[in-house]
Order: sequence, then C-alpha cells, then structure tokens
Amino acid sequence: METLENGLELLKKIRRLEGVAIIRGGVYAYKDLHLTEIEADRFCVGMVEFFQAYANEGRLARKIVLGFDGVTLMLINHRTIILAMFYEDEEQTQMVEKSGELFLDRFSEVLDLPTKPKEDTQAIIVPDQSAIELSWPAFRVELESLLTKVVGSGQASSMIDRQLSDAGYAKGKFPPSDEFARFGLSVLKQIRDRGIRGVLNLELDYLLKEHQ
Amino acid sequence: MAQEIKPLRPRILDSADRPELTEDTITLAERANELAECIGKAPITCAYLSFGQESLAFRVTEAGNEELVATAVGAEGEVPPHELLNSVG
Repeated sequence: METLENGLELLKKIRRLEGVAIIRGGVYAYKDLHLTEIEADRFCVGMVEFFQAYANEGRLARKIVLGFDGVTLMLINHRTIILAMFYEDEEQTQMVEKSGELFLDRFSEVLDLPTKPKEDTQAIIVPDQSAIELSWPAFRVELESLLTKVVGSGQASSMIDRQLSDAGYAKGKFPPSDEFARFGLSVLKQIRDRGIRGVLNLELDYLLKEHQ
Repeated sequence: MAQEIKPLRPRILDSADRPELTEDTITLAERANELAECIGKAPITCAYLSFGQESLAFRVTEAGNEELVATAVGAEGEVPPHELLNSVG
C-alpha cells in the first residue's frame, strides 16, 4: 500500500518541487525542505500563526501562494492539515495547485479529511472551454504531456503508437472519445513503477473529468 | 419562472471597486512577510490568499519595495491562484 511519505516523494519528484511538507496539529507530519532545522522550525510556527491569525478573525484562509525572489510557496489548508509546496517557477502554479488538490483527495482517508461536498445540482452551470468534448489530437497531446513527466517525448509518442497498434487501430485511426479513459490507462500500464503509474492514473482521471 | 444562471467564472474586481480591500491587502502583506522572514526570504514579491468564496492577490513593484500595485478579488467562488495572480500583472 502506498504510504503518505511515498505519495509526497512522488508529488515532489513529478512536479519537480523544491520542497514539500505536511503540518498536522501544529507540527510536521512530514518534511522534505531545503531549510536548516532552525528555519524549518520557524517556518512551521510561522505557518500555523499565519492561519491562526485569520482564524482568530473568523476567516478560514484556505489557500495561499507567496512569491519570493526565485521561489514560490503554495500552502493548502484543510482543517488541521497544511500542505506546503515550494517550487521554482510561478508559471507552474496551476499544475502545482492541481497536484496538491489531487494529493489531498487521494490521501483524504489517511489525513482524515472530509470528502468534497457534492456539486449544487440546483444551479445551472454554463459549460466552459474545458467542458468541450476532448478531441483525439487534444487527448493525445495531454497524454503525451503526462508521459513526458517520466519518459522522453519520443518514447511517450512511441508508447501511444504501440498501444494504438496493439489495440488494433490502423495507421491514422484512433479510439472514440468514450474509449479515451480505457486507452489512456492501457498506455500508462507500460509505466513499470506502480507508484508513479498511480499518480499518472489520477492525473489522467482528473484530465478526463475536466472535459466531461 | 426562469431559473437564475450562475456565472461560470467568478468575477474579478479591481480594488477601485472594493476600497475596503486595502486593509486586507496590507494585512496579507504584513503576515506574508513575517512568514517569509522565518525562512530568510522576505520581502515577498506577490501574494494570493483565498477564503474559498473570496480571494485576493497583489504584487509589489519590485523585491524590497512594498508598494502595492494592484489588488483583485474574485467573488462568488474561488478564483484559482494563477488566474488571480495573472490579473495583477
């Protein structure tokens, strides 16, 4: 069974994070930070005080992003848990946020987090761009992008081509959109490391749900 | 009776529309810099804070200069950090 520590190590590796930590009950439950022990201790106290200051005002600070010179910090607050992620490029913010949320979803039982509330079914939601049905070229680009986190771009493309061939698709043919999930999982099965494959499976699932 | 259609994306408002945000922004800047000092990274260059339904973000003109140049607020839902930070430069 994948542990919380393994999950955090993978999160750090895949997103090329400079540091990651979990603070639970005001102390580190896990930390892998490029900080001295003194800095790490101060940082832990500082984070708790930061959130507490807002809580004392009756406001629940949920997510914070701070840019420093050369590094960005994202903090996601879920009840008694704070997930801290340091990353180099602010341009990565969207992906880091997604990965952090995915991580918290995945380990919600371990972290004793409540499940996400159901969407308000009374509201009419106007579909946005992401809700447009995913085309094969767009799906292939996304799948290759997922794969290139762990293999080279040439190999990623070959893995998809090989799976197309194995699944009986002639050159220029591809699966229908309702088969994208199954096809994507088949391609990801070629990743030998179970832990990495698990994270990529989650990201694939997230990607497909975005376009449902 | 027609059912109200919720806006897809939260609206992003400029601080000019919400003058009361100035205090929130200054508070965030102070608290963020205190946190940054813990790891020897102060001053901050930008910040984003979400309370879920409301969020705000700002950038400073340059590292070391705490002049606030912009504030944006997303109402009616959480505006993702990349989106709100992009809206302030």
